[in-house]
Amino acid sequence: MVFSDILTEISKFSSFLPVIFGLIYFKKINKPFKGLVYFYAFCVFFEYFITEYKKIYGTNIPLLHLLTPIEFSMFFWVFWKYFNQHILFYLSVVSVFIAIAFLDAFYINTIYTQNIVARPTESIVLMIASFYYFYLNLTNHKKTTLIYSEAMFWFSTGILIYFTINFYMFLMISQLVPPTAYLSIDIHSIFNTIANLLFAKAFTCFKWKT
Amino acid sequence: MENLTIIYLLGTLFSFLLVGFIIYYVILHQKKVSEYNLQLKEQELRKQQALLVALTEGQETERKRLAEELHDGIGAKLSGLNMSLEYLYNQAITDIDLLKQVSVGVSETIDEIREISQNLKPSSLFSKGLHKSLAEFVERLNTKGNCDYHLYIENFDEPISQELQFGLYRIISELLTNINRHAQATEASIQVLLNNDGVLQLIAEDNGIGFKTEYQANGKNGIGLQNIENRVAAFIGTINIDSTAQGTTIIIEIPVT
Repeated sequence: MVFSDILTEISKFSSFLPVIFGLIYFKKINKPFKGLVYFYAFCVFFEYFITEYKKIYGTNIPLLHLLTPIEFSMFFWVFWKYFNQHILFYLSVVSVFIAIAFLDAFYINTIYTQNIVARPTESIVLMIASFYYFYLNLTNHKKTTLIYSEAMFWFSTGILIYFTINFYMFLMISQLVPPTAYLSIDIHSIFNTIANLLFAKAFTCFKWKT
Repeated sequence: MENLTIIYLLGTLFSFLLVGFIIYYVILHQKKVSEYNLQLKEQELRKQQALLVALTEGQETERKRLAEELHDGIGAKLSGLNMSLEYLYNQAITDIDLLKQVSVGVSETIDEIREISQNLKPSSLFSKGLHKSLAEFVERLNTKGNCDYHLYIENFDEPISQELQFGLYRIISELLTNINRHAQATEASIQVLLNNDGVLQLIAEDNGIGFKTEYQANGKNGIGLQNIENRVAAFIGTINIDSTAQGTTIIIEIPVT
């Protein structure tokens, strides 16, 4: 097993962590984070489904086109609940994103090529949401609790780190040819592991009452 | 090709460091702000506590003055009047029943004034201590109504301050008065315990009809309960109320050390 395979396996294994921690703290966590537990459980299933799909059809890209809007809707839902915005705002953003993902899959590119429009768009919107979360906390002058005691902090940090690297990767994607392309997969595995660790950490912020 | 790899690696590293720096800055700045806010909150709390202590002290002084006036002034005058009435009753030939009635009325008024005065200024607290004073209070209640009151006060190794003893007396008497007036209970108990962490725990339980705790959430407590809360707050304590149609449990915790 080469180093690259080890990183991929670690990355795959790390996707279990948010599910495990989510289930441990399930009774204590709030509604958006309960939704995240279901989503992470879905991702674990999807990860292995994708692997099997790739073995049969030789590519997993059509499924990634499908996963991107689902992932965006879920992550954006957590932010939307935190920001306490109107439902129409959430529906509008998600609808526009689904439209972009659809155009990307069928008109701009094909479902057999990377979704190089939808993924960067997803990254940008979620990065903005993370920055807005940090901005709100920086400008809240009445707060007496520490930011890192909040689940949203670890979630936003995970989102920001993962999607920043992801965004950069998609910016460079047209120039990524082997061996740099393989390196990008390794880097993606590393940051996916980091993000999963941070998502898992978020659940531990919901303390048991003593 | 190598250049592209280097550019890609450096770009990734730079993005990661930038994000890391932003997050580090947010943590650092927010920590400062929250610590400052916490300090402000503590200062505000201390001010409020000082105000509450001053308020309760003023209330105690006023009660003491009122008790003395009732006992020494009105009480003494009524006792004199009662003696005159008894003399008239012994001398009278007509309206004997009326005189007897007036005399009994005055005697009852004197008793009531004595009780009010005793409640306002529990002089027994100074001489007999908290346990005996409360035991007497409970005994008086037991002879009056249908409710059976029980009192348990743990013997503390270290005596608690007189200020706290006064506070506890007021809190417990207020709780008992509330049960007596409103709870329609047949059983009630008061327990005062001191745990190993130096926290004094007061548990008041009754099997009465309970009361709506949402009044508490809305800040619309009755005066009695509000007095209790003020006193508890003055001792930096906490109060927890659980009331249902089957009874009420109030747990008050006050740090002693």
